[in-house]
Amino acid sequence: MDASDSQKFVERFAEVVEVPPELVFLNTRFRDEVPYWSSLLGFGLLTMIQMDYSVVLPLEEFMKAGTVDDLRQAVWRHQQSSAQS
Amino acid sequence: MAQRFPVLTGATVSGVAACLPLNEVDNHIAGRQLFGDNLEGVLHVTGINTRRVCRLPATTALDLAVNAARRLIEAGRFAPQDCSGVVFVTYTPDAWMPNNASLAQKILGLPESMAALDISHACAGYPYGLWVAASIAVAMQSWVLLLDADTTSRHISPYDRSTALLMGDAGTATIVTPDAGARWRFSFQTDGQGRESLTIPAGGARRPLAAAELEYTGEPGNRRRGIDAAMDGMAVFNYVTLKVPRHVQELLAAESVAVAELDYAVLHQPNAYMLRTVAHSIGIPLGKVPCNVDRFGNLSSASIPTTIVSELAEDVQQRSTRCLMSGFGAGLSTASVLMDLGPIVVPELVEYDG
Repeated sequence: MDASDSQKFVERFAEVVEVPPELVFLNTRFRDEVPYWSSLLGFGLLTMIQMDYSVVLPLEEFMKAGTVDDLRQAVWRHQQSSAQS
Repeated sequence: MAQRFPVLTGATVSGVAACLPLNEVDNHIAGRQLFGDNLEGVLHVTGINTRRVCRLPATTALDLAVNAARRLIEAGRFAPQDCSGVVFVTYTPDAWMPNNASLAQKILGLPESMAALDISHACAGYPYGLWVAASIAVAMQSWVLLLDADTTSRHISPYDRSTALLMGDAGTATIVTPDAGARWRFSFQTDGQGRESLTIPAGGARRPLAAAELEYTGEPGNRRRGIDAAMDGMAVFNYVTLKVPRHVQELLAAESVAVAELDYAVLHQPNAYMLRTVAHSIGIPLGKVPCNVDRFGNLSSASIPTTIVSELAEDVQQRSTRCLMSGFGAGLSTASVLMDLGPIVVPELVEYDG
């Protein structure tokens, strides 16, 4: 996974939470910084992760993620472990 | 091999009417206690600012539907004596028996020599109603009244964050008439594995009504009665966003219709965010996806016909439009139909003070 993959993740994240992409960064603490954050947007992110990355992220791991990068790393981890198995 | 995308020829929609309770609930006030500081965020995303909810406990889906039907029969000058059937889509009927369709036949003064049946379905119900109504109209060669109504508010806990600010009540009437040149294409999808994701668990035969089912139980923010709707929001969201877009795209492909050729995609509206997500995944611009969930709330299966009345009346009264309709929800299930809609009779939205 390289920088362009990270950038793509940020762009998809922004699209799902309906925020202009230039306002979202890897260190964005999305629950505090995304305007009008709600659980529906969380559902949207989990579904996007499932569709785009073929990862069914457990809710507990999603709840632990504070920043966009935490979420990205969780997705990458799941992808790697499924590739190894 | 079964035909996955059944074709039904020989019937068309001739009129649609809708009746909403006059009583309006302002979610910005109603949700303060339950959501506190998060309220505006929640409302921004769901997009549901106000909802229409019956004021009187005695008002039922049947009351709303027959009011819509009266106005439609009158506006279109449909001859009651020629009506060959009543189909009533609801999961909130007046009683376990008889069915709502028989009650509507009597109230509306329709002939005894007619078919009358209910269809138990929630958000996916309208295309199912059209399918059955059209089948009757073709077989009996006369017009059929399709009623689609629910008073979902009766089964919503004000203490349950996942459902409290979503649902509205509505009644609708659609008249389906024989038309040799008409061709509709349907698609249905059912996943009973997900039945617990959206359910009213008690009050049926499996878990009969008992005193305990009328008590509010559960953690704060998640408290409801056994007779209230219980929703696993993530499971429903997942189903809708993963399954519905492909379902719709496959129906369009079966009929060789490109998204660009559609005038409208009248989709069920669980909330504004899910509507946008589904529309985006199908690849249809929001300008072709009419929406009234912001003012009326999620109207269950009545949301599609109510949207035709509140958002499309001017256009479909004048001309024929290429229209996709798709309902999805409890079951879990999806039902869609592709048809030419219009020109049809659409009386002004009826409001009912009850």
